Amino acid sequence: MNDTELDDLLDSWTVPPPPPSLRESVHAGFAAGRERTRGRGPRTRKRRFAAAILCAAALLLVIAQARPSAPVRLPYIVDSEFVRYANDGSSSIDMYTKSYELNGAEILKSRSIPGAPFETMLGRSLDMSLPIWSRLMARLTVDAPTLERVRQAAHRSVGAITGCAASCLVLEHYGFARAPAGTERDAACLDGAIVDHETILNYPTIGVRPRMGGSIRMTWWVSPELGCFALRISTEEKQPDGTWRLVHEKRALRVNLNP
Amino acid sequence: MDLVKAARSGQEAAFLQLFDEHHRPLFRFAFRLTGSVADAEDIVQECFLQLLRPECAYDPRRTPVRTYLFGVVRNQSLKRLRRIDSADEASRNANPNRSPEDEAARAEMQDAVARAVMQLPDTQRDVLILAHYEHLPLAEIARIMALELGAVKSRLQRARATLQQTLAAYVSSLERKK
Repeated sequence: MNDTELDDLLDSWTVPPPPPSLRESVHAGFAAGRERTRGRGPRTRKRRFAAAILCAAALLLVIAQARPSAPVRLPYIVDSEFVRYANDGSSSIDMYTKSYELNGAEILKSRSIPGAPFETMLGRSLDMSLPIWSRLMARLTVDAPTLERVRQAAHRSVGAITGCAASCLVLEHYGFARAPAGTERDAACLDGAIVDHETILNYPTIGVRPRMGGSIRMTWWVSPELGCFALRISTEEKQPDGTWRLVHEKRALRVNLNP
Repeated sequence: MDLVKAARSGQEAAFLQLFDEHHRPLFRFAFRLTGSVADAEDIVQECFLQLLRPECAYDPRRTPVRTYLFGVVRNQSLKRLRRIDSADEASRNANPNRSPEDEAARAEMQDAVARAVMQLPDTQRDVLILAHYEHLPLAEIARIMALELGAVKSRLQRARATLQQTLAAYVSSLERKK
């Protein structure tokens, strides 16, 4: 059977036209949705507004007490997207971020959750308040020498935002030890197996797979030119048959120099 | 203002225009995947209404609406297909509008093609339907299915090769009957 014969056979499989009721039911669904939005609009908006005001007030109070005041001059800001892959291979975007690297840690400048302005606002409030809250709690509950050891350890690691959880309200971070200085792996920033070399957005990157164990595997494509910023991070899950399935990916979309 | 934005802001005319522009190919795709007019109708309805929900992650700056809608139809259809037990599957894939006697041969052929396509692995089947029946560019199919372009090409080739074998066997069995 040649290609033309196959095409002819395939064309014999016809489809009935969409029933007229389809347009009517979609139209009715649209109208019902609009009514629901109208019906609950003012009350819901008032509640959300009140919650937002409360959050903002609490934040201002905490920030005034704990936010470091020294301004940081940024050499670059990276726009990234976070993509989640479902079992069926379909993908969706969890969030977009703008961030940069400082002393081995990825610092978030802003982020947005597509199609969810309220969650975006709430998430941003949490991004600001949670680190400050945890710093305050650490000061109250952990002794000074231990805190110093934690600080030193942080300087010997490279951290990044790897995704988000709880309807994307809370950010997920991972940190791995730096590669020992002066070794062959030094340029790769992270301590781990070098599995790839790739140019991303005109920046040479090194694909490093840190040791993790278990059923999760991460690969970080770090850019030495951008102070070890990871321009891509893939997270894979081990399947029962031993293969790895990509479940999440962070991808840089643009590097803005001297923002 | 683009249609999606206008529809999301509550403009009925924009929503209906969006529906009129896209619902036919989406319905055909859903029907070919599920083999059921009722399921295809539900899926297409859900697909358009999902676009309006506040939690919808669709971003018009990054993806054309047609690509997004085909992706939603595919995901919804796959969910339904998983719920169908295999015993029921054969009957659903048959043509629901049985032809009269003089069209029996044609209906039989149509059912054979539908069955052969439905027996392909999921991704091969979806690529074939989108490419052959909906004439979508391979790059757009790659976006809908979150695959590399090369993977789409190879799946299409494999699907066609499998169908050539399956349907050739069917055609020769028909000829033997004659």
